[in-house]
Amino acid sequence: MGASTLSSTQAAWILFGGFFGMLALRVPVAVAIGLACLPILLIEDRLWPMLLLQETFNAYNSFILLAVPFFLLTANLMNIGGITDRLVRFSRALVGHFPGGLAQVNVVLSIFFAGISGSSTADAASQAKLFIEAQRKEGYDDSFSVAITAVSAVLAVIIPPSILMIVWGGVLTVSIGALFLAGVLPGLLIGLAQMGTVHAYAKMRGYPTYPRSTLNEVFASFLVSIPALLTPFIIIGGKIFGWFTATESACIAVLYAGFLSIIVYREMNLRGLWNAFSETGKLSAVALFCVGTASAFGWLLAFYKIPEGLMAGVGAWQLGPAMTGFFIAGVFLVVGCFLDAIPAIIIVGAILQPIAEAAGLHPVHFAMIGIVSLAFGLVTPPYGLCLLITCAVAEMRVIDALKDVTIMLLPMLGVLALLILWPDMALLLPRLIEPDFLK
Amino acid sequence: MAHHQPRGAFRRATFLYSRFLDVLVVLTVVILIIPVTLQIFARFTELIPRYIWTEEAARFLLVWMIMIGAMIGVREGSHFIVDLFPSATGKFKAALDLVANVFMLIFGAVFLWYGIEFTEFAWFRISELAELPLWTIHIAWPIAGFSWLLFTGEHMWDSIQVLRGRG
Amino acid sequence: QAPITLNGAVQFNDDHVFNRTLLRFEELVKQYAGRPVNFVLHRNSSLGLEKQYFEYMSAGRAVDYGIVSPAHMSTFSRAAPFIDAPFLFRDLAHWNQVMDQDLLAPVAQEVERRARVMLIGYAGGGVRNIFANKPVSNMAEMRGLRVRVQGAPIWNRTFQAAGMAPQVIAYNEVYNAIQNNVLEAGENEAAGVLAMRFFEVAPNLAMTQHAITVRPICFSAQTFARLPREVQEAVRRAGREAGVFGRQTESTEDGQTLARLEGEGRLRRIPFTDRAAMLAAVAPVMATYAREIEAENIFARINALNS
Ligand code: NA
Ligand code: NA
Repeated sequence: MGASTLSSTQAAWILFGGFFGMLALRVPVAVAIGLACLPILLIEDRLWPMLLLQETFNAYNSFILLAVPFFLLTANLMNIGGITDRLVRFSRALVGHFPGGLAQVNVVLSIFFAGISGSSTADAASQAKLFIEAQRKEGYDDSFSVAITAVSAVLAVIIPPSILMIVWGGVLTVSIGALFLAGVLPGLLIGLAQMGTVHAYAKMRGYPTYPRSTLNEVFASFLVSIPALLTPFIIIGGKIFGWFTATESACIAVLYAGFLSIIVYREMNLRGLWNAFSETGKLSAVALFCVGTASAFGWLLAFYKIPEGLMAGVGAWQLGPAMTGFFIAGVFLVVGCFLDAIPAIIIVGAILQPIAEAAGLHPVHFAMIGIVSLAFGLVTPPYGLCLLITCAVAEMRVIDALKDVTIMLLPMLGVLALLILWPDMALLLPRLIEPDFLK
Repeated sequence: MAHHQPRGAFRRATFLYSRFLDVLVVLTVVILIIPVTLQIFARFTELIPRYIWTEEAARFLLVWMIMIGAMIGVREGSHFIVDLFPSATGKFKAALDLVANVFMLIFGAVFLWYGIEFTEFAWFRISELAELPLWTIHIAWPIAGFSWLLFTGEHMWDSIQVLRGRG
Repeated sequence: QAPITLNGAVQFNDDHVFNRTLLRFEELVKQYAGRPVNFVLHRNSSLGLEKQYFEYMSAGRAVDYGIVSPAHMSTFSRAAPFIDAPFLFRDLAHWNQVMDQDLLAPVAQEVERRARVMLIGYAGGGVRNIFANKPVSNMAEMRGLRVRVQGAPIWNRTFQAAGMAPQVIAYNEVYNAIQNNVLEAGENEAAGVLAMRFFEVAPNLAMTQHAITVRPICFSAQTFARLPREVQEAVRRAGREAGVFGRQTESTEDGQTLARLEGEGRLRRIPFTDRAAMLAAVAPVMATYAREIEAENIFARINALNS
């Protein structure tokens, strides 16, 4: 009861000021986001600190978030069960002879992995362990290794399956099937852009190259990788035939990876299995814990109508479709620096939807612009989970990797610009394969 | 930041407690697979009954997994930070850690103090599908708060030792 | 006199009948209170879903009023979902009689006692039917139908008794689950079918009329206790009247919406021929359920009406 004690502006200052202040003092991101809410919860008459607990509970009590530990478990099972090894060999046979061979393998493996996993967090965590030490040994600069591992991990939420598409489809009622198909082309193009970036780096810095594989080697490594490469088709096929829901597909990925590791490749042992479960639990918990406090933060932004205040009047600008696309991308890129992608979709996606509709953007096109922009937010500080994870594994400061991350983001932003100007990059595949999805 | 050689009763207690949490987090992940698998396969075969509680059971296990994992994260210092200072060492690092840990302490205290109210809020309530007592989920918050205080206290003690030149 | 500001929450966008009902409630309070009252209505789920803002009303913080489906009150009171149980009302006339005679008052009292949330008016009046990706017109065609039901045991049990294969899936996954054939059907009133665009994936509407919604206008009892007497009275009166407005609006628009969608060729209404058999099949389950939650008296009185 009673009007708000704080104005929107005051609340915004406390939230963002508190967050940045605590980050500077090396307080963990999750804690800084949560504690930034505390002064407001204490000052504001109508609110109270239990709300922080209630909102974290609401965020965790979500069937959709289950996909995160499942996808991470899939990655860990792949690592200990020999699946990753085979995919690495196949990737190396394909691109190892390019300049910067190992870094190219890093990107290509992320593309394969993206087809299996829908969580970039999972990709960053498993590949950081795989590549950073190996690239260090081959003479790659640390900041380059960290940056390429982090930026290639964002492919996991752009190439289907994708937890962001599941959330987006659920919140804004867009067909998840259409989003899955729409993500393929932008994802592959971003992957290509990253390979180009690696090429340029390798040429300038003289990074090593592997000898070219013979056709036989390529073919042999392809054969043993087939069962693993089938995973995306099982997941997407399962969705098209209606065997399981999008969230359930993450569990199917776990079961399939377990099946391959135990029955087909037979490289699993009990110790490894225990570690896979333990690491899955710990890492997904730490990553999801951030999502909870970020949700409380987002709830307060919504309570004070801060995003609406910032967005008021945009409708009157009468931007054309392309300019609206750039505006939407810009908003999501900025928001992605501070907020987790999931609360960002819920809070900002709903506000931008009418603007996109008024400008005549197709809902699937709008969704892809949002998802790609938010995916980039996974590597932009201060709150960029993939960058945080890879830096943590490499025992490196985020700041030291920033320059290379920025350079690598430039061509990726180019693909995003192309996606905005050329809607068919998203709409082509759904229209060809499942025209019903685009209704 | 692991303490491989627990000294004294307090050290031993926190060490054993953290091992216990390790086991629990593995169990939650293992068990998490069961209800979702049941839910999927019950759709295709009459052999598996279509339980109504599978969705809820999965969500509640996830909540516990996150809360337990976050407690372990405090002990292992694995919650993500954005490090703005030059790579600090020695007493300077100990002082910085001490400052950051003050905030962790506040956070733990908030979870413990308001977690008790949060648990009371659920005391007479039951879950929607399985009709479980809701406090069995909400109590994860005060337990997490208590564990944060415990593990953060341990870290702060270490930092103080370093500052006093005994590290 | 300090100005009073009340915060409301609604899950839907501006066109939805719940939103309009709450706006009417705000207008009426302002009119009756005889002093300025400000309202802030948070729309589009920005403060969470119905279940969550019911909890905030219960705690007397953050949200003061809103419309919440009784199913979401079940963690506080096992009897609450009974208000809105399927197969409870024979038809709109029967439902109207129950409303007019305030037969649901005992459940409302239990909710207020246990959750400290007052049910100050009853909106609703949407007739729920089954939308499916294939035509369903009788019990035989309904057998084994994978239909999404609300997450409350009574829905699961009655639909099972009617021979279907009910599934509990989050509301916001339903559209996609039907599109992918994980589900074959869902069930909702016209406003829900329209808002979630379910007709796009399941254009066959089996007119089972298995439930008529009751959507209480909720008000936090703790906020209420802090209001001056004249505002309290205004809130009670406005709640009652906004409820009547909401009921009339939704039950009128319900049929209109379906007719319009059918006219545009977006869905087909398919008469359901076995309604009596369906009701007979679920009757024992309903009786057991009413006994379990100690609502036998209300159940008996509702059944006795008009017969
Ligand atoms: Na990679
Ligand atoms: Na993916």
